[in-house]
Amino acid sequence: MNARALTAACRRTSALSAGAMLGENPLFLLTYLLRLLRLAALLAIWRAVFAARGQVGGMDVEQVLTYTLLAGILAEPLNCRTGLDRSLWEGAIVTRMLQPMGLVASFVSEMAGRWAVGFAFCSLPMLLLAPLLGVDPWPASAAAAAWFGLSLALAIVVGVALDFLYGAAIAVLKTDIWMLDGMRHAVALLLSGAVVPLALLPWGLGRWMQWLPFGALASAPLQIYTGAGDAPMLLALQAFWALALCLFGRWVWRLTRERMVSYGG
Amino acid sequence: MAARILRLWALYAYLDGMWIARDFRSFIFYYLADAVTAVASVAGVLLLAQRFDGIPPWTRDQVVFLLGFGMVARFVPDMLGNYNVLHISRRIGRGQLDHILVQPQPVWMALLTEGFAPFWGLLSLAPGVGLMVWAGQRMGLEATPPWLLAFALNLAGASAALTAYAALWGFAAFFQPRAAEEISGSAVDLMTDLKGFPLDALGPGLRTALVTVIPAGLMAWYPCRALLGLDHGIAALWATPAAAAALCCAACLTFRMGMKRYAQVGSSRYTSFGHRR
Amino acid sequence: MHRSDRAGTPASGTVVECRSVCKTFRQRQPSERPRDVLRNLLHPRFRTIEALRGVSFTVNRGEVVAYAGPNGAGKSTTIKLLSGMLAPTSGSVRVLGMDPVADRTRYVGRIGVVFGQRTELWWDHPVAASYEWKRVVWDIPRERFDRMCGVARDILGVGESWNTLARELSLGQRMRADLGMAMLHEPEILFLDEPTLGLDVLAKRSMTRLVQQLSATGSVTVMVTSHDMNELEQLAGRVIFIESGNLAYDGDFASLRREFGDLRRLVLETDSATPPSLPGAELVGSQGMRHEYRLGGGGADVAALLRLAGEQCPVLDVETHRAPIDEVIAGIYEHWGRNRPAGTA
Ligand SMILES: Nc1ncnc2c1ncn2[C@@H]1O[C@H](COP(=O)(O)OP(=O)(O)OP(=O)(O)O)[C@@H](O)[C@H]1O
Ligand SMILES: [Mg+2]
Repeated sequence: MNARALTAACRRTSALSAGAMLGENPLFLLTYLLRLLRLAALLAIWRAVFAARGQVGGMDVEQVLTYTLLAGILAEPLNCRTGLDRSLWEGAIVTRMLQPMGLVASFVSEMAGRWAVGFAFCSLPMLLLAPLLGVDPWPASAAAAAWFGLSLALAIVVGVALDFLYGAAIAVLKTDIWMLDGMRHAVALLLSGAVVPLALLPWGLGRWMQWLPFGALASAPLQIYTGAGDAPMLLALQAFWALALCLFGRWVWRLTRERMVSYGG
Repeated sequence: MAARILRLWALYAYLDGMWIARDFRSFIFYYLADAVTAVASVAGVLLLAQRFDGIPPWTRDQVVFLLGFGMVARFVPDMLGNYNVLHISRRIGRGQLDHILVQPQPVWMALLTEGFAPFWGLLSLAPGVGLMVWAGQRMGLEATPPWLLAFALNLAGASAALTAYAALWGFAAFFQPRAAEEISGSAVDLMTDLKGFPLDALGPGLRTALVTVIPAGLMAWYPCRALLGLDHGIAALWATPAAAAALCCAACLTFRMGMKRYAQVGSSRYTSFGHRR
Repeated sequence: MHRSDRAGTPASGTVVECRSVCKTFRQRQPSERPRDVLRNLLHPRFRTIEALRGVSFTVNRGEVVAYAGPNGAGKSTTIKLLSGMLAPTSGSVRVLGMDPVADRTRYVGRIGVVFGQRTELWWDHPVAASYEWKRVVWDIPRERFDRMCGVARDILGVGESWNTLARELSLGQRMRADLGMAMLHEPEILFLDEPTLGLDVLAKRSMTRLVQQLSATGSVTVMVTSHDMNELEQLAGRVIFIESGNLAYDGDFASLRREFGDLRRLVLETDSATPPSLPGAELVGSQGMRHEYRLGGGGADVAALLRLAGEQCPVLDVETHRAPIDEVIAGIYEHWGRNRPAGTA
């Protein structure tokens, strides 16, 4: 498959998956309203927590608010879910393997389609509402913004690699996904720093947790955006995880490919 | 009728036990995952409360109690709500209600029993109770009989509120099968995400929303306020059970309307996933 | 819940009664063009499908009825109406003297339903556990349960997959297990929607045998849909055809053949590759020296045709047989397809 054909296939897939989200009726927009509500609640809680303090763990309240706002806006890219797990569970993976574009491209473009809808109907409004919520949505500096772009891209790569590893784990363990899904959601939310910035954890826990691959998912790009972290170091760490997990994922995937096809269905 | 419910629960407990104990590795794995989920879901707020010495106006111990309460309040709905019974929109939206309709028993009885999996989620009960007892001792909480009664009432109210609320969103699938699946999922997730936070800092509008439309506040925050004396007065103690009763009524009404509609339109998007598996 | 009381129903007589049953559905018809996104969201287009348009029939106790028709004709819809999952838009459905929707809990304890593409089995449990589950939920007396388990194991061959997880069964094994499970409470009426989906020849035969055995006792009524006409002809004495929601035929297979042309075949083997020309018989094809003709309705005079052929060339061998039922049906469907009024689904 040449590059042109691949791009075309990916675009078509994205469009279809976005269309599938939009297709039914406007009720699904309520989901985004719920996300906004959650964001507003978190912002209020942070204000209360920081009420009588200046800086904690190198972050002031403004930074934490921006951090939380951005985590809300970018909830999807900062915690990639390709839908591979479900597809494995239902045995639908077999039809994916028959598609000429390859598994990763197929899943990622489908995910991108969903993101596009989320971006248009949720992220953008959230960003526009930021002043109303009393949060400064701008990055710490122009340099931070530039680094942030790169960091976000790396975060997505790490996220997709983790998602595929997770899929491989499901196929190997032959276990049902609902149980693992809850665990994964809770663990990722905690360790990636998407809710509580790692720097704000007690006992210097955050210093240790940032070395984990989960830190590359949300904490790194958000820290860079708010100017709360050392950008080159965080980027290097993310790049390392992206490379390592991709290689590892490839290897595991080859090893377990057979089990995946026979799984489910 | 009660005898039948008990008999069915025994049956489902047997099925659940057989499934968990099918081999040693999955047995260990199951409980490990359960424990990790339980710990991770409260760790964030717990660590925050440690670092900031509470979340104003709640002290650290009060926050710990609140977290424990929220965990325990989820226990019963989770135990009865497996196989997507708690996420009933998935079953309704996927045409799986037909499987219940061929059973010679009322739909509510099927729903009350089919999701029963007592061996699942056990590990979220123990830490929840542990957190509450530990915090209670540090606060010098006096567990007098009236207080225990109020506690039980509020705990039952919180559980019922979650169940009824999940059911309400779930029954929306009678009317909008596809959209409801997504919304219902996010709505229940939001409850889980916010149930561990003290919500006092929120503006009055938000706060009202979180005890009515999206009653995440009823899961732990509001009942704990009353129980820990942050909110005085007998009315506060009765608020959660009352709200839960109202939510239950609304859920029952929606269910009736929904069943009527289902008989008319049926479901044309049958899949077998998330049902008896 | 409550054990079904079988005493109250007569041993013969009408068990299923559909009176001018109509069922309409609304289907969304979204446009696939990206620029129509907003319109799809805010002002969606629907079309109304009349899945059933005034269908009436009755079924007597002990009958085996085949319910057939092309894809989308409304077969599954009818089965759902009869099993209490759907209510008719208009008209009335009464089975065993009950309204399937209003008296559902009492009613479904006395019927069995199998949808070929759905399973009642528990996915992560062995078949035996699902059967045990059914025993408790349906409140089946032990004696009946053991007897019907025996039937499932011996006649349907469920024994070999007794302790296998449902998820690891093949399609055919799963179907057999599902059929066996539907029989456990000894239903008075069985509604089978494409029950032979995925079954191999042997399994089909054993399923056919089971239904025949059941109907021989005269107490079980069976309504079965399928696209396999041979099987239906073997199973059922009576066939109901439904087409675009209308009842198109209700009678036995023999009259069906008569009515829609009992096409028979005449095969002649001669010593030449050119087929003899026989007026009144239509040549279907030739293979070497074998020539196959299609004969019109019952009136064709075979003896005269043979004489005519013998005058043209020596006839070495003669075969006549009835056209396969599939062909009769295909002829009917084609006829319907041509005459279908425009604008219907
Ligand atoms: N719940 C539903 N909502 C909307 N339309 C429906 C629904 N169920 C069935 N239909 C429509 O009703 C018509 C009849 O469907 P039905 O499933 O009864 O056909 P069938 O005879 O069983 O066909 P097949 O042989 O393909 O199984 C079809 O046009 C179908 O699209
Ligand atoms: Mg059908």
